[in-house]
Amino acid sequence: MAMAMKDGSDGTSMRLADRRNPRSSPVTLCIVGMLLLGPILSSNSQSPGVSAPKLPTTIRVALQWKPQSQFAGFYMAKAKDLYRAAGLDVRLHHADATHNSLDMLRDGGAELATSFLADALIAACKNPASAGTALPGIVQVAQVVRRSNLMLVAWKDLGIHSAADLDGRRVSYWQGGFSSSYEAFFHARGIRPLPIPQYYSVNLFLSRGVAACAAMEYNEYDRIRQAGIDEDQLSVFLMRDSGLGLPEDGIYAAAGWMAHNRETALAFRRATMAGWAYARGHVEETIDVVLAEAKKSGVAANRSHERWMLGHILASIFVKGESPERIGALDAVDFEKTVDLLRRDGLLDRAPSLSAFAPMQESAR
Amino acid sequence: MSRMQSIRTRMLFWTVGVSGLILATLIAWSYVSVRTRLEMEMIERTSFQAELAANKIDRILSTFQGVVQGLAIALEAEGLDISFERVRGMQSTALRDNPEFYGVAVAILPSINPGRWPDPAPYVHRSKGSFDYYSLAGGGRNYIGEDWFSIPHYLNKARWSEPYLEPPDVKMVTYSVPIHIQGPEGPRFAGVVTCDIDLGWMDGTIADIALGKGGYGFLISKNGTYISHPMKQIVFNESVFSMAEESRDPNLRRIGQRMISGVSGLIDFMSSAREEKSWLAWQPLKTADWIMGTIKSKEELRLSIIAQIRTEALVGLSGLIVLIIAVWLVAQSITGPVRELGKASKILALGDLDAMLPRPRGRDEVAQLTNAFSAMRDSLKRHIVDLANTTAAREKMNSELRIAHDIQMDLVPKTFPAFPNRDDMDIFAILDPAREVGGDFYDFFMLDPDHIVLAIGDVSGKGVPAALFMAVTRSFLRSEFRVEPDPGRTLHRVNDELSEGNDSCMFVTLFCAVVRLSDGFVRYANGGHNPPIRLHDDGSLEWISTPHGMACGASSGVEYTTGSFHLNPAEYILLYTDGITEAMNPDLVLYGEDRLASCVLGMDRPTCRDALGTLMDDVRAHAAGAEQSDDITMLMFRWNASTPRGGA
Repeated sequence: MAMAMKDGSDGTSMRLADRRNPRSSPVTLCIVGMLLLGPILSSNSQSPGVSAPKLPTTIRVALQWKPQSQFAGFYMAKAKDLYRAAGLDVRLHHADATHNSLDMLRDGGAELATSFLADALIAACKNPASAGTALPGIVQVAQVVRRSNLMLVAWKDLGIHSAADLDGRRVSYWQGGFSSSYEAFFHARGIRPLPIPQYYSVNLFLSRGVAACAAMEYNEYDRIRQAGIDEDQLSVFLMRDSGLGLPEDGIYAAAGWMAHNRETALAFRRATMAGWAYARGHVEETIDVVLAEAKKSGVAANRSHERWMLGHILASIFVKGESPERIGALDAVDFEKTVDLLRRDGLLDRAPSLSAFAPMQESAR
Repeated sequence: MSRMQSIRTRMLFWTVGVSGLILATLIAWSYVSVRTRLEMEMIERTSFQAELAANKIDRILSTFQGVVQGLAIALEAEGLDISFERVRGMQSTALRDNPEFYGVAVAILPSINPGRWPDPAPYVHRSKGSFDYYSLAGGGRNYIGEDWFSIPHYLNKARWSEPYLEPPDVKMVTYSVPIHIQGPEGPRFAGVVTCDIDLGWMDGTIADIALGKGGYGFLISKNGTYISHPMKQIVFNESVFSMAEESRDPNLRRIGQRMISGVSGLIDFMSSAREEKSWLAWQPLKTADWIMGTIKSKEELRLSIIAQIRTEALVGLSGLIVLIIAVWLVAQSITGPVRELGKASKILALGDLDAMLPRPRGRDEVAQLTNAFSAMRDSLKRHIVDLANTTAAREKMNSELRIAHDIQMDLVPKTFPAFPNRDDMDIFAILDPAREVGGDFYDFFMLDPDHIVLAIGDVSGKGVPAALFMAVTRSFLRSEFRVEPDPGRTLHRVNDELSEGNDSCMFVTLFCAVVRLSDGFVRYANGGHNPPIRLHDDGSLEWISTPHGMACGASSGVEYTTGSFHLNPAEYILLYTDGITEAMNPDLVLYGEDRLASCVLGMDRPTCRDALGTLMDDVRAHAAGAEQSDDITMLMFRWNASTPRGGA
């Protein structure tokens, strides 16, 4: 209870933050690392055979954060019976500050989990099961969000008008996978801001305790706007504009489970992407479902923010000007870029091949 | 009488109209003044209550602040160099002394942990009636990026967190105070003391603000997020800005920005959701970065005004009704008797003077009018009786005068032709009295078959006395001519007779002539009368003006000379009174002797009847309708010599 209490206090701030897995702190990752789940998961998975069972296959999916539009495609696939039509009985679980989605994947709490690509890559390679081999402990089922939303938001009235102005200033950003993007950004600009750890909230930024903070365009940026800050008060640096944008939300499975459930995973991937397509065509209906999910979980939410988030997430899934067949796929160039960034930052010492990390690329196509 | 013309209706109409107008004006004026006053009152109350509620919340929060700051000061004073058990003891004491406190944490930067503490972040909280402890650093947790730690850390000052909802439905807030320790370069940040506080009391405090129907209080955080609001579903979910975005209301966003700017304010506010005009006042708290807001509906202002005006209107209308009744009664007390008087006067007008008049009540004007009416009726009655008597008397007199007239007319010969069997003369006469009876007379009579007397007279004065005098004169004249047929001598005697015992001093002008019919010899005498006219056979005219004596009856012993002339055959003599020559037209112009002469001269040998008819017509033409003022008397004689003598 007391724990919950303290988290709760963060939770308020989380309302402003929550886009990301908060527990990708090194400590957490150590715990994750100690879990070896591949075999366990494979034993948990039902009917390893590929023969289409009459009974729907039950799949537990760990979404990386509390209910919000970031997961609208999952909700709609379930609400519109797209999973059921694919022979799946999907149970959606939400991770939170204390339960990381990848942890849930590894400790057997879920068959599938969503995660950011960078975090998943780090987790995959720290898996002791893959130690000494090039085989990852976690493999990708789909790369849902293919375009980066990562940004730095800075106060103009604290003198930040260009990236150079950040030099020597306090800048808060998330640790873990995203720190690589920011640090590459600072390196490229030749600046050395004072890094401040950022968790789930932008309140420190709103209190002007830092000159700039990390934000997702679809979430924190709008949270700042919804705190009454006008866009012209802010200087915004989108990582993708500097070529430092990394693919974000993907669907992952333990490698062991995947080895026996390719068809199920494929079915899940297709149904989920269909759910996103549905959400894209039925925005208001989707927001209704999202708000109902948030209410069910006691998470603060409002329609305008969820609409903003859905719009930006959809634009990052169905990237304008790209061929439809690439939807849900991990781009080789993006993969290399991510590996490269993480490696340069020392978060990754070795990397799996794209085909080992994302074994479904071909079959999905 | 149409309804509007009745006094009662007019009195009612004007009284009610004017009073109603005054009442309406008063109500309108009252509306304006009440509205202004109430509006100012409500605006003040809106602001005042925002301030009041903010102060109330501040008071409570500052008490809590004091406790937490006390803890921080105590820790700082010892330079954190105290035992872990004592820290735990201080935490428990704070919880025990402050029932609203849920948990107290002391969290130190891991790098500064005095080392003797087994846990850099002990947290003591309530649990089922007792206090539990756990480490915020347990399980690999890293708290330095949490708001409750990092914000006071990097801002280097005590902070109230954004409030949050602790499942299932407990509003909480955390107050964090930084702790500093002395380092080689002065005091430096070492950690924080925090306190988690149950805000359960806050909604009640805000709901207690009396803002009337449609009004409410609310609390927002520095981020514009609703912390307390009557609509529970928006609390923690929505901010002023998310609401503004959802309702596409850029104005609301600007209002929100003003509210979180740290300055209090008051504006007219139209909620896009409720479509209701209101006032919005806000007041920043002095403790937390929150803003207390109050909304007061203008609808309440409208209702208050209506309630007040309605009361005034009701009182006014009641007064008006009482006034109507009073006016009606007064009008009734006036018009009732007047109407009865009117009815009675109609009956009076129909001639029934015995009709009952209403009994006068009191001594007012209506009573006076009734009395005057009564007096008038009595006077009228008397007058009518008098009038009847007078009329009867006059009738009698008139009838007597008519008889007198007839008698007077009978005194003069008026049968023409007077001598139908004689053609040696033509004679005609007219007597036209101005009244029933007059003083003029003419006369002719045969003394013997050869002599005829012609006479004309005019008694001074008019009416009955003149008529009597005339009758007397005529009698004397006739009788005296029988005594001696000389006109002068006759006038002498008649004068003596008349003047004897003539106490009334009346007199008469007399002209008399005796015509010897055989040869046309005329003897005559004139006693003060107008000169007669002799119309010669050659058509010329002669005034017979000499001899001329004085009028008869004034004094005795007067001698009159007898004149004479010879008439030629077919010559005329015209005798007349001054009624001819002095006949006046409306312009008071006399007929005159000249016009008489010319009228006579214009005749071409007429009969005497025609001549007098012509003359009379001319006189009437001259008078042109003017009232006849004097008797008109004429006598015309023509001698026809050629005619053989005959007996009368």
